[in-house]
Amino acid sequence: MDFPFVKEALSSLFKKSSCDMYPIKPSEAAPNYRGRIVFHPDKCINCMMCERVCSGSAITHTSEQTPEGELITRTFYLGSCTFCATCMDFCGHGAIEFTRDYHMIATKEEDLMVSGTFLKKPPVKKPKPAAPAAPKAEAKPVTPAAAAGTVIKPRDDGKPVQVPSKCVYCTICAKKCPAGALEVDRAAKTWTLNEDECVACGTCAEACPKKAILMPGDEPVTVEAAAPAAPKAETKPAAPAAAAGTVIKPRDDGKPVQVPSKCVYCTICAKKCPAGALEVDRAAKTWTLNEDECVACGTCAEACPKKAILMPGDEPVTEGAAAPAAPKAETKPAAPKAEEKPVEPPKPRDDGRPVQDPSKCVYCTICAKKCPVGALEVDRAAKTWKLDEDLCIGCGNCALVCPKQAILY
Amino acid sequence: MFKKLIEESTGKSPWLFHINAGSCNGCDIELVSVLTPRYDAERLGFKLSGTPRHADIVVVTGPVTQQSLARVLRTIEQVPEPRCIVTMGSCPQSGNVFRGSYAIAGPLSKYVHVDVDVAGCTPKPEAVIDGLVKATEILREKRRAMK
Repeated sequence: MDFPFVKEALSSLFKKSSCDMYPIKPSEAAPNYRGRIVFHPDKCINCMMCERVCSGSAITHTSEQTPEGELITRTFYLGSCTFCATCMDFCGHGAIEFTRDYHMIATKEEDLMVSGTFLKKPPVKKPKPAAPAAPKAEAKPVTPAAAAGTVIKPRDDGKPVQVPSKCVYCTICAKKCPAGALEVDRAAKTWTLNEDECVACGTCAEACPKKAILMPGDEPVTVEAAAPAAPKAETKPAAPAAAAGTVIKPRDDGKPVQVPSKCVYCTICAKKCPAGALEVDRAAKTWTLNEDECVACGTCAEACPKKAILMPGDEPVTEGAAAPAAPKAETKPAAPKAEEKPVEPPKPRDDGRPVQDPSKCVYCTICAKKCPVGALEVDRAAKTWKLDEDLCIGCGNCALVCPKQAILY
Repeated sequence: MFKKLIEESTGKSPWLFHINAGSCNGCDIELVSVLTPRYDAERLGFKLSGTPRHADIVVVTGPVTQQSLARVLRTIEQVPEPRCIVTMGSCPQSGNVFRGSYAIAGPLSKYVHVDVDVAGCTPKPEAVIDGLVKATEILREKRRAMK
C-alpha cells in the first residue's frame, strides 16, 4: 500500500508558514510603489499641467480672489486616481510626490482627498520675492546709473532673464514665445515675463537678435554704464525724391516703407534693425529691405530721425515735385510674399499617432522634451519636426503640451 | 445559547461576495490573491461565498457599467442585512478613467450606501485586508444596532 502524500504532509507540518502575516507583521511596499499623493503647495505655480494630463480627472482646483492675490486650493481625489504618476512627471517644480503609503481606506469621501492651498501673487511689475539672488525678469528702463556694475546671471529655474543694456525691445522674443509669456513694450521700454505662463523653453533667447536674454548655461553679463546709443542727429541734407506726385502708403503686412524724399540714408535704421533686414548705402542712396529677414518690428521707423519710414497706421505721404528726380530707391522691392503658398491643413492619423501642423508649429521643442519615449525630434534652427514611428506609443502627450495646438492627435 | 454562539461566530467570520461591475480584472485578480495562501485572508475568517444570500460583505470592483447596474443592484438586494458594501479600486468610487463615458452608470454611491472605500488602482493586497478588517468592524456595529 502506497501513501503518496504522507511524507509531504508530515514535512510541511514542521515548515514555516508561507503566509505573509500581514496585519500582525507590518508590510512595506516596494521601493518605487506609487501610493498616497503628497502635494507641496509651496512649490506649485498653478501651471495646470497636472490637471490637463490626469486621465482620471482626479485633480481639481478652486480659486479665490484675495487682496494679496489668488488663493488656490488644489485637490487630488485618490478615489479617482490611477496612480499613473503622469502628473508627477509633468510637474516641472516637484510639487507632486507619490509616497509608498498604500493604506488608503476610507469610510467617507473626504478621507481620500489630498489638498493644499497656496497664494498665487498677481504678475505685478515688481520683482518677485521668490528669487532674490537672481536678477529679476523685470523691465528696468535702461538707466545706466542703476544698471552699472550689476552682474546679471541666468536663473536656476530655466526661465529667461533680460539684459537691459543689450535689449532693443524689438518684441521678437514676445512674438516667438510659444506660451505668450512675454510682454514687451517698445515705447515704454519694458520687458515683462509672466512667470506662470513661461514654460522655460528658451525660444525667446534663441530668437533674440541681440543676445539680450540669458538662459541657464549662459555666461553672466556685467552691465557697464550702458548708455543706449543715442540716435546721432543726421546732418546730411540730401534731397533725393521719387517721381513727383507718387503717394507712398504704409504696407498692410506691418513691414516698413521708405519715403525717399525724406530719407537721408543715414543708415541708422539699418543699424537698429534687430533682424539685420535693412541695407542702406549712403553713397548709392539705396534703401533695401530684405523681406524674408524683416520681422515687422518697427524699430527702424522709430529710430529714423527724419520719419522717413512708414509703418501701418502712419499717414500716407505724397511725394512733392520739388526735388529733382533721384535714383528711385527701392521703396517696394516687390518681392513675392514669401511662404504664402497655401498648405492644405493636415489630417489626424488613424493610428493614434500625432501629426504636426506646420502652419502653427513654432518649433519650440516642448513636445520633444515632454515625449515620454523620446520619439520626437524637433530642430528649431532647421525647422524640422520628425516623429519616430517605431518609438511612438500614441500617448498624445505632445498634443497636450503643445502651446500652439500645432499637433493633431 | 445556540443563537448566541452563531451570532458570535458570524461576527468573526464574515463571508465575502465579489461582484465584477465591469472591472478591468486587475482588482479581481488582487482580490483572489488576498484569499490565496500568501496573504491568506481566510486566516482572519474571510471566506469567499458562492451566493449573495450567504454573504455579509459585498466587494464591488469595476466602474458599474450600464449593463451591469441592474445586476449589481439586484445582487446587493439579495444580501441579507446587516451587510457591508466595500468598493475596491478607484473605479466604483468615481469611474476613474472611464468617468464621463456613456457606458458608465457609476459611481456606486449614487445607488447604494457604500461603507468602505479601498483606494488604489489596484489596491495592494495589504490594503484590501485593511479594508475588509474595517468592514468587519462596521458589520459588528451594524449587528449590535439591529438588536
